[in-house]
Amino acid sequence: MKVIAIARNTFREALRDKALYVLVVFSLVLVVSTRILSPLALGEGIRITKDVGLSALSFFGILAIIVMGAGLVHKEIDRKTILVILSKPVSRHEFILGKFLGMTDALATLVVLMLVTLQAILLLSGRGLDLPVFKAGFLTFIELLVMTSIAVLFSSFSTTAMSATFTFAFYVVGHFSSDMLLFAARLPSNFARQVCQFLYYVIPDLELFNVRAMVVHGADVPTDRLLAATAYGLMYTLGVLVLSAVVFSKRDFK
Amino acid sequence: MPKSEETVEASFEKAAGPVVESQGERRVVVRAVNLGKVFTSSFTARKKWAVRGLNLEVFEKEVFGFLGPNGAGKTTTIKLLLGLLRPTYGSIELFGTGPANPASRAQVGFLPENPSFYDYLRLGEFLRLCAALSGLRRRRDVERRVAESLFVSGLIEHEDVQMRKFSKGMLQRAGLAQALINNPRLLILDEPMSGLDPIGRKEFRDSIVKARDNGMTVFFSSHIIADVELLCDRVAIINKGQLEKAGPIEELVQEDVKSVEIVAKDVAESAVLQLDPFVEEKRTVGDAVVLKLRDSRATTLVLGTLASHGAQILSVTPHKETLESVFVRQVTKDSLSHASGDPEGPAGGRRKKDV
Repeated sequence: MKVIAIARNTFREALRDKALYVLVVFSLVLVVSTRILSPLALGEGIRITKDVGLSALSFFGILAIIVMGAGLVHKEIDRKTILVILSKPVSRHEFILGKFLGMTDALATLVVLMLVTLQAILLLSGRGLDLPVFKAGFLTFIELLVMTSIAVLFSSFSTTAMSATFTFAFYVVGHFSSDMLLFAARLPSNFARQVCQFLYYVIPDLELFNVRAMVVHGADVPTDRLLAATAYGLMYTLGVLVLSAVVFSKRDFK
Repeated sequence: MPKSEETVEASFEKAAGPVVESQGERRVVVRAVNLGKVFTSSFTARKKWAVRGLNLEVFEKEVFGFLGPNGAGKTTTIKLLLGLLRPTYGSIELFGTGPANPASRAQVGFLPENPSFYDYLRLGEFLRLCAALSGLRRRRDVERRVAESLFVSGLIEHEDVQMRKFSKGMLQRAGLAQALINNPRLLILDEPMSGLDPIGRKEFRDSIVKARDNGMTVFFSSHIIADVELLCDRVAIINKGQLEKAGPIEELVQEDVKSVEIVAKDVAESAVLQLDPFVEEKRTVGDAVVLKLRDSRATTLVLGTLASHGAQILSVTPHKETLESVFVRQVTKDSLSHASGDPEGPAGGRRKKDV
């Protein structure tokens, strides 16, 4: 109940933040504009619409996390609203979980809006309902959950700017983490190899959630890939949230 | 070079004093034993005591004033009470439970110093959030408590106003409303009257009196002595993180010897000579003589002597010490001991009185 109250308040804050509306409007304009420009795409219009739509989902999702999620916990400490919340019979892990779920709600709204718009465009183009697009959108949402948990972790012990920087760095490196093992194999130093292997296991493998190329070219997303990526994403998120709660529970609020 | 943990602990043990006071059958609501908090600078690793060796007991249904100058450690103590800071040493309990357990705060209402709330929320939304966080579940209970809190804080007509539009006084009252949302048994107020205009302060004082009349224990920190003197049953004076003096206000202000001023007419010179050892100051105002006594205990003797010499007593005025003079003396005494390099000053581990 307390977790839901915190989540609802976080969601309400996101809804009253102009940044979310700017992101929603920009992403929708981008998707719609692909249809307007489709005559220039030499018959590849639908593919471009799907590609741009799904990429926009990931890009604007991570932008929302950086703009709103990176300050999720630190803003409460900075504004001292945390003093009121934690002086109630609320445990610190309930607070962390509530903040995470509230941000997740906001992202889910963004994802659903964009997916519905994308499907509407596909329907209007006479293509019918495209289920693989939904699956790709779902995996992008799982990717955003992972990134939100990372933003919450950094936000629980660092400033908003630091948290935003670290979260973005994780996002970029996370898309190349599978290359890290290949890179490690070519390194001459044993220590450097071990560092690369360590980073591979610590940094999330975000490419697991990227099925855009598959979907854009009309292929379906295999169920085992869908389930494996979802399980991996949820486990990773859970692990990072537990770590965030532990870090946050040790904090002093001066 | 930073102090090691052992060094800090040793100096803490030296500074700490025993819990000595008890209040018969009255239930203890807040108990701090040898409480200490050290802040460590993240850049220089330098340690600084914010609270040192604090022993404190607050009993149910009393208004307890926590008096101290700015930076004395009042807010740190309150944050330690609420689990917002973790003590470096010692222990603290609310209703017999440690602050690490959120249940210890179930019957507590807290108003922070210069409160800041979610400015995008309307007051009603904020109070409903606070009600949910306090563990109120049924919609009917939540609405009743929101209405009561709005009534007590005088903000009924502002329920649908966004808090970003609130003035300082209104924010303070909104803070009181959220602190009262769970009808707490213990109300903790950190500098509740600072920054308020005289009317705001009067309204806030009335709210504290009302809370006490409703059976709540009120623990409030302040550096405004007049407010403490008006409201509190017991007072603790804290300075540089250490407890200087504590007890009921009447005891604190009567503990030290006060003077007595006697105004009399027709005082014979022989009587004045006879009373000279007891008189600190003698002056004449018109045809009356004003005698200021060194010791209030000599009052009866002086009055008897004057009467036996045929003097006419016009008035007898005992000069009581005020809480302000006790406070100033305690605080300045500490500064002077520092300035003179007193080895038994706070850094040297002086023993403090406990409450």
